Amino acid sequence: MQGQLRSGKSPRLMHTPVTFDRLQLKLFSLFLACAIPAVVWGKPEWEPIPADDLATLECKVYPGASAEALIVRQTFDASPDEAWTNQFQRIKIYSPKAAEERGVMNIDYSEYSKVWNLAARVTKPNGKSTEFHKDDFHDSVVVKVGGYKLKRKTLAVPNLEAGDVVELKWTQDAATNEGNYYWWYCQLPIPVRHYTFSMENSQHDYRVLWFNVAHADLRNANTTQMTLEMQNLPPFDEEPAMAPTRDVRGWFLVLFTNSYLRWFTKDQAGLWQEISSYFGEDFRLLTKPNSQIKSTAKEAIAGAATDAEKLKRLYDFCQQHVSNLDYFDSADLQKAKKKLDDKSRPQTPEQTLQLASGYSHHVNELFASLARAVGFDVRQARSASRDATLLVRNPMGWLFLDDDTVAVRRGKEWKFYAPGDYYEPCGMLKSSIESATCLVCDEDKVIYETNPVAPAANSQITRRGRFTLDADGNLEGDVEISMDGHAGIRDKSNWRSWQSAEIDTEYRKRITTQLPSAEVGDLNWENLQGDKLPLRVHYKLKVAGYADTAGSKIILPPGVFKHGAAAFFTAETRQYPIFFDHAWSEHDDIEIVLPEGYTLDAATAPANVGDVAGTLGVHYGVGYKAKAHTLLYKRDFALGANSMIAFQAASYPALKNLFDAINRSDEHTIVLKPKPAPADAPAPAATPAK
Amino acid sequence: MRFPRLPRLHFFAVLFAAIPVIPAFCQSYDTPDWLTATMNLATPENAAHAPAVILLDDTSLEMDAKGVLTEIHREAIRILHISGRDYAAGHATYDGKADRVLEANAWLFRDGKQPRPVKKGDWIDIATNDPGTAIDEYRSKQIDLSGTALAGDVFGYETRVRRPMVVAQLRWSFGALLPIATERLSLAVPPGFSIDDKMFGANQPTLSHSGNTWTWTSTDRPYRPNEPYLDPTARDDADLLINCTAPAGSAAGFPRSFSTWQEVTSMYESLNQGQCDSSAELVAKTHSLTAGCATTLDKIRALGAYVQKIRYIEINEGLRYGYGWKARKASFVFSNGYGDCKDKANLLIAMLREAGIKAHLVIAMIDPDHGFVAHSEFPGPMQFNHAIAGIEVDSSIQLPAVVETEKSGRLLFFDPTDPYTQVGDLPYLIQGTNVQVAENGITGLTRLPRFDAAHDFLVQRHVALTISASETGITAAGQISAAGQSGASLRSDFEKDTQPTELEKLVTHQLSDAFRGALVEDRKTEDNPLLGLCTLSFTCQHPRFVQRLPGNGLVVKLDVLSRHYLPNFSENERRLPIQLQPVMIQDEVVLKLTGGYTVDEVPRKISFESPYGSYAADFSLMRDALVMKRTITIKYLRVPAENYAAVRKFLTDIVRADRSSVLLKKGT
Repeated sequence: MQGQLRSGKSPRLMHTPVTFDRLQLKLFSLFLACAIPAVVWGKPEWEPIPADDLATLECKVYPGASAEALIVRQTFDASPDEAWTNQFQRIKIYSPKAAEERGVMNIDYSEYSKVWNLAARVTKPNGKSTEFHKDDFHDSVVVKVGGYKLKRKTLAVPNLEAGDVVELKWTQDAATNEGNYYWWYCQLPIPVRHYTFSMENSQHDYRVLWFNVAHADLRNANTTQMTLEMQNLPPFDEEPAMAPTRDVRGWFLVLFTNSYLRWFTKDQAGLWQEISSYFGEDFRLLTKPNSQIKSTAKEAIAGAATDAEKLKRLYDFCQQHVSNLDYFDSADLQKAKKKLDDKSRPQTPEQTLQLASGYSHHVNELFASLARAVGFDVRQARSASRDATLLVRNPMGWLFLDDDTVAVRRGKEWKFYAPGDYYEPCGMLKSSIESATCLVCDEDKVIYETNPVAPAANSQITRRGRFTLDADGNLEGDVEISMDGHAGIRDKSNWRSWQSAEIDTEYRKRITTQLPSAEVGDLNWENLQGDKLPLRVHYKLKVAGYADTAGSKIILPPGVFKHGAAAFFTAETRQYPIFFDHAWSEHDDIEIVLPEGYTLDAATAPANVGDVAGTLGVHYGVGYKAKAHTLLYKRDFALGANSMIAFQAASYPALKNLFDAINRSDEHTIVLKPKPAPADAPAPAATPAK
Repeated sequence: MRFPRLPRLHFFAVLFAAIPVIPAFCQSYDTPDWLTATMNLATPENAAHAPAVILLDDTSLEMDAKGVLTEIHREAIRILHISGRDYAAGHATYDGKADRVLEANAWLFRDGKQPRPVKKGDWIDIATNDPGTAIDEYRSKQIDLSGTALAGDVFGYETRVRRPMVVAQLRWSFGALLPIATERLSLAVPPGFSIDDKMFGANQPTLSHSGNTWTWTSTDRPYRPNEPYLDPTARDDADLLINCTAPAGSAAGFPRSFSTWQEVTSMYESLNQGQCDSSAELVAKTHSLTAGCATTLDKIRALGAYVQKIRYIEINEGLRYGYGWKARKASFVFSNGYGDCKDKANLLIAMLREAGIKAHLVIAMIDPDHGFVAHSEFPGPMQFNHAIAGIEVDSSIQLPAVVETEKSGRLLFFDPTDPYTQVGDLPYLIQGTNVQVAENGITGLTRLPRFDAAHDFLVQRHVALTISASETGITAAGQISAAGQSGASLRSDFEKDTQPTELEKLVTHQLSDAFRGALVEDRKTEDNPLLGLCTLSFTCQHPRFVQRLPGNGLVVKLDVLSRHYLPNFSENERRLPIQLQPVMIQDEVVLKLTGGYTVDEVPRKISFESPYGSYAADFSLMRDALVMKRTITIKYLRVPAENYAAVRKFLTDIVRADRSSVLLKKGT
């Protein structure tokens, strides 16, 4: 739940930020941190609960919600000597499930921080309240490590049941030093009626930003005070193929600063220019090639005719020459890692070249230095990522430029390279930063670019199956599947420390999830280790009862690789935009020798759907080799052939409709009937189904 | 009920470790002789394909005259593959209020050298609260060197823990997931003290005895990896139960030991004396709940349902005094509205008493991880971890959960901790287990019944399919009803899934993959407590489910309901026994024949049986509909790995038989 500056090095004039500790993390994430207007000592005072809220049995705005946060308040307050947060939450319980979930309340805090003014109250629908104070909470130590303790205050709330309103408030000290920033989700798994974040008597300058909140109101904002009010926040629920959570879920951020921290106080244009300039200069100085880099680069590109070829040579050299410590481990690499981690100064590209080991960013820096050595115009590019947020073009967005790549000018364009991402071949970026905004760190001007999305053709899945079908509908044959680009990288990366038997088990499971009676034998992998693509697998497949028998006829779904696959989208409606991990394409080539004594009965081809060369589509071809008594089936699918992989929520019905149509076409069947006579009946040519 | 955890849990639950008491903050530990001797042992042949192997798992327990154990645990694990580096970790669970971790050392060796010294700061100490536990005295010391360990490394650790025994009994399990070269337990008792040990299990360790020391040793145990539908006992070689007895005249201060079940009952009684109390509010609530109840069973149902709804919250305090077996006062639990299993059972007994119905505390064991079942031959509380209620009923109450018992006659067993299993039924995990009715004069345990698939795991699904006017879409109106444990599972879903999107997921979960793109238009849940039946009704539409054929033909799949209740085995071979979970599915799919369509050929009836279950599908042509009826039964069975192929064949036969496409054609 917390943010942290992750620039990789400390920017000028900025204090190292204090990260949000686990106490606050738990506290805010689990208990919807909030605040009362001021520190109240002694007996807690409770605000009256409106009769309507006590009586209501269901959330009016979001029917079916198990609970509703009626009020969540959180206040930062400070005196010259200390700072603290006041928290208050009022939750209406609508179901036994919510009573169960909120029946034990925990507040976790560091041993170096304090919690006080702790109180809770449960109010029944009839207005009868029970209050709980400090002594009703149980103290315990959750974790002790190296002299550090994470503590917990726990209240098992008695008699909490559907209909009750439960309130919790406490005060906790907080660090509001310059440079600290905190962020919270204000949109919670349950609906929130009122969410208030206030700043009282701030001793430092600060900035507040909020995202993905429809109804937010910033009031009374000045250098020491402000109130941010948000109303009627819907419950947050994950959906498949989502944009980064922070790009769709309501959240806000407060950053403490002062006039000396120029990065926090500049206007947006000046701020980004300064950031760009700072990183640009730093990178230029770091990647300045020396003679060794120059001679290495020259040798690496020997014979390369074009710029693209030269860059590919350098890219491959970096990936092959340097043992990437983010991906590999061995006794020697552990020593190298220790040496590197113990260093007080950053490792230079020359050292990376000499040591032949480094983290991903060292590999990128070596690549940049080599590229500069042979005359390319190179910059560092700091990129947003789907692992955090893509919405970075705002005054604080630079906090979330977590990934770095190398921008190389080719003509008028910038091309992006990240050989530090070990599995990515030259020309591709890892999928989590595709389509993300990046800042090309130029010292003179701000250059925003968008990382390219590799088209579907770069991530091909090619499946080839040669099968025989018997008269009982059993299918048997050989399969070869190759997975290129992101499609292969995903598995290679996930499986890199697995045993081969584990991989086989996992892969068999995938197949039998789709085809429950499948038997998979002789699994044989190629390119499982190392960075080589495509990842390829061969196996023998036997599927008992693959085809249906309807009386004397056989009903055969020829799309063996997609038969039984679950629908991609099942929900009726969609709240958030749709983001696919990456573009990809599939090419199926299947031949099925039909059982003796059967022939095609008015066979049709599945209906084509969408546009294979456009955003989404599938194209089928069905044929018949009479002499070999063999059915031919081809399927070509692509999502993002035009590199489009993100869609507005409004597109969901159309997108679901297309996927459903593809799913249906994938399940298209061919009817086989017994041959009427010993002689071959002429097979009809396949025609598209209507 | 949370009984004291065992001095030594199963290997996967506990990889021992402890608080280090190291003089210098960053000092690493000297290598002990036992580890030097062990780390060069050859990897056993049966460790093939294992990610790591336990070269030594050695625990020595030394008991003093006060019943305080000093436990020294030594373990050496060789990492065989990088995927096994997570095993370079250990932890020790201990009672934070009673036990003391005296010493903890750990080492990681690579080619005879330590790639990095292990420091005090590498150990962490955490609370082990399970979800729903408000307070738990149990803690765990942990060390994790997985970030450093590589294939070929040997990770070793040694812990010394002082553990006062709560009762003079021990329960010990032999066996683990990883292959083990040597697993050893030794127990030394003071002169004059004696032990009575009983060993259960198929692969019992060898026992050697010298003076006052007993040693059990198990060797060359194989790799037992995770496999689907694993028999929970598959990794347990043996369970050792030990009763320690002080010599006459030395029993003062020595914890209690047990030689009869009556003695165990006496302990419960003394701990729980006065806990089953009452209060004016409790009495008033009991009377209001039972006011409209005409029969004893109605009263039991009303009170049982009330206590089931009380929230489950554990507060584990005073375990060193045996409070793990002590229920909180019924009046306290009633007024607080929460409690753990023994609290809820005790409250129910109190409320039943106020309603004129006699009931007893029943001590039980739920062990989904290892399938341990209490042994009658060994009286002792260490065999249990749960509490339920046994309600005295007469012959007018005929329910599956009624058992004729030794002392109390007919007892209706009921678990108020399970919020979804109704009176008359028992949770799956305690079916077929042995329980102790905490009643004076008992001499043994009572076996709870195990219910068969047809009676307790029945799911009935009915779907009516109507082809749309476009002749490519289909509308389905369905109803899923479940009773017994299947009903409990659906009831649990109903409670958890209240939002429209969650209910939609519940419906789509019941649909076959092929039909899952359907738009769910309507869904309704109903729980009939009298019939014990939970029902999920829905309608949905799939715009492209029907395939048109040239010449006015249609292909319709009747396979619209999921087979997620059936196990799926993807591996060609099996190492460990299987636990088949019972279920009976009765499906009826009615395809309305409209638009002048008739069925080209009615699919054939098919049925078969196997030792593991049965399958039957029947198709009948009514005047304007084709009706498919299908019944699939899976029996509750533990199947040896040798019979894996037969089980798989049975399931494959189901898939093979379960093909339900029909061809429709225009005209007669």
